[in-house]
Amino acid sequence: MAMGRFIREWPKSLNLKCDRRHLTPLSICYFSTDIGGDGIETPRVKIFDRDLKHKHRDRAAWLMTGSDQLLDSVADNLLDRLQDCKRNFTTALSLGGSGEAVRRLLRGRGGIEKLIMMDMSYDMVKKLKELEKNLTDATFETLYLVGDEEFLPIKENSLELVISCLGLHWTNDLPGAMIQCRLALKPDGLFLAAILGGDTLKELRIACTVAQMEREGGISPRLSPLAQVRDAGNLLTRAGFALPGVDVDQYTVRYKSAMELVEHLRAMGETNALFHRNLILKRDTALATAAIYQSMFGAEDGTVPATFQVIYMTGWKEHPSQQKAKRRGSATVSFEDIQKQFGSSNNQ
Amino acid sequence: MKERKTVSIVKRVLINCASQAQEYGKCVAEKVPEVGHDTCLKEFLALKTCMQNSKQSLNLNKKFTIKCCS
Repeated sequence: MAMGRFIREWPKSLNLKCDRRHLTPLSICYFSTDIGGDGIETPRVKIFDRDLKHKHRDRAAWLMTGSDQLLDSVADNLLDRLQDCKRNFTTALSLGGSGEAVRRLLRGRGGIEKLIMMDMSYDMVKKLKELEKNLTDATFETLYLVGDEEFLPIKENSLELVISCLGLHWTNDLPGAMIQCRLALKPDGLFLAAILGGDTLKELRIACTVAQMEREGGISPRLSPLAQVRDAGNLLTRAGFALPGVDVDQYTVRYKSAMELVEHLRAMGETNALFHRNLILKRDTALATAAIYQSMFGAEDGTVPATFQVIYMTGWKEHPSQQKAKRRGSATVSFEDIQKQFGSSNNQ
Repeated sequence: MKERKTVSIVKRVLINCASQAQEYGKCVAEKVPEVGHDTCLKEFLALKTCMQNSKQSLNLNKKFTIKCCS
């Protein structure tokens, strides 16, 4: 009818594959990381410049020296979850992020025999290969792969474990990447991810905004949009994982000055890669940001804190052996019966 | 990848001109959240002149590049 005619007039370049009844022009132009679970395949929205992120990761590989305390704590925390599972995962994939820390701190957890290290940057993968000889207690065989998290080059039903330690928050299509991880997993396979949450670097966000307002009279995004904790659960269910689990950890790292924070971010490959970023950072603005950061958030001894909120997500691929919620109406005992049995003096 | 020297310059300015930076920071921190364009211009100009005075020691004109993996 009228709606049908309107749809046919949309430009062919959009290449939509979706249920047309629900689609309106607004949802095409909707530029955000919104993950409303309405089952529609949204067109590819580019928030992050993946090529630039590639270069950032190359630089992070060149700057990699020794171990990073923050990345180590996050990786250790993530790998702890492997100890909570009784089974062994023979084949595992490590997606981007701090794969080096994951491999080094594995220490036999999870019974991994074959570990595939994947990163979008060739230099990073080369560096990981070089560092392999430093592993003294490696009980597994490592394979290296250069690939993009958004186009996972792994066969379906082939992995038992997918780990991503701080790698997925730079994907343009996080639900899509998670869906591909689920497809790559065997039934009863585990997906473990740590991503940065919305509270991360809130001090830097504030300092940048205030400095830009004061120096330039306007603001531009300097920090990427990050997932909120409440979205993490939706992400897991939308990707189709069973038994989803989410928890949050907040790390506060102290730096000698705001510039140390910037250097640390560069070393981790976490610098700004938004398409909408302002390509120019005037020296005045940078100076103002550092001074404001120091005065607004600096401690007595001159150090500045930076918050890193990490959201840990766990999800399993469906398998008949997993417990499922019982069907509605299948209860055989009512709360009234229980109360009668234990007496109303308990009052609970 | 060409690495601009902003980080090391700003670091050194903050050390050499610590008092001006502190004044500027204090001025802005007091005015938050009603900070507009050039709200603390005076303090910032003091900081900028201090930076330009110590230009000699900062070598602002030199650029350098990060050498890539070989």
